[in-house]
Amino acid sequence: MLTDSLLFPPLPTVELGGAREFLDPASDLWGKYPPYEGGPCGGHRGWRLAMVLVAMYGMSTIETTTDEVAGLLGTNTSQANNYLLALGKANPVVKTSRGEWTVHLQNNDVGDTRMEHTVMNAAHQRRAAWKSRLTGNKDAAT
Amino acid sequence: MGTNVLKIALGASLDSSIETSAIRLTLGLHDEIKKRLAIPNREGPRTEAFIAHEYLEHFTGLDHRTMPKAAALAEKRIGLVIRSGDGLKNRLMYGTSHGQAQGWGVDRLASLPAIADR
Repeated sequence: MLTDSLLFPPLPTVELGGAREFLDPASDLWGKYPPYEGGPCGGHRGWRLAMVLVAMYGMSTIETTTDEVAGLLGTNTSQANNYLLALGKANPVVKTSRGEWTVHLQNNDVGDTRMEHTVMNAAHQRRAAWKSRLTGNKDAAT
Repeated sequence: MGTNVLKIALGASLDSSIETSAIRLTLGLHDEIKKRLAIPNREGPRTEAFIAHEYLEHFTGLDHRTMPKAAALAEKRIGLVIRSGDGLKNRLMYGTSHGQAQGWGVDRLASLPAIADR
């Protein structure tokens, strides 16, 4: 009979810190917005990348490359770029030069003003763009 | 217990063949299941907790269209939750010894140098 330890081999010791709260998909913030739009990690893709990075390095500042992220996620570099951009919606993610990124994973308090602004701005832009298409008024998109 | 579930979810996240929604479902249900397990029943401590499907969206942030597939994947690949049905409604049952857990098992973790060295 397989034991739990065999089924679920322990991960290496990494500093998880506040990862539980950071990654919690059931937090108020995740529930407040549609799953692909918000959350402390910038939506579905950002959350997955945050999970992988925390598993590998813990909660920390990470220097990585698009190629490395692509390897970790099993995607191509274009998709990896999108994952990094998604994570960057809610966390400081800096593209230092071609293909090099610095990611600083941090806890965002539920109701964080900056995060809410990011989400609300995105929603506003989508509504404006939709209205523009409906009315044919290009000014409505601005 | 919380850390264990988090670590299981983190381990699963390293396998790109396990969809994100399944991991989110497993991790998102943890706190609620933990609360329900803490309430003993007539026979003694609970070993299983049931959550009706209609509450899953609230606890996990996943929408109702994603949920059935995510639950099936979580059951098959991660194993902490299993689905059951009594003919009236489907439920999720929380356990610790189910699932294949092969896709992100020992071989997968050992193949990652950054993890193996830590």
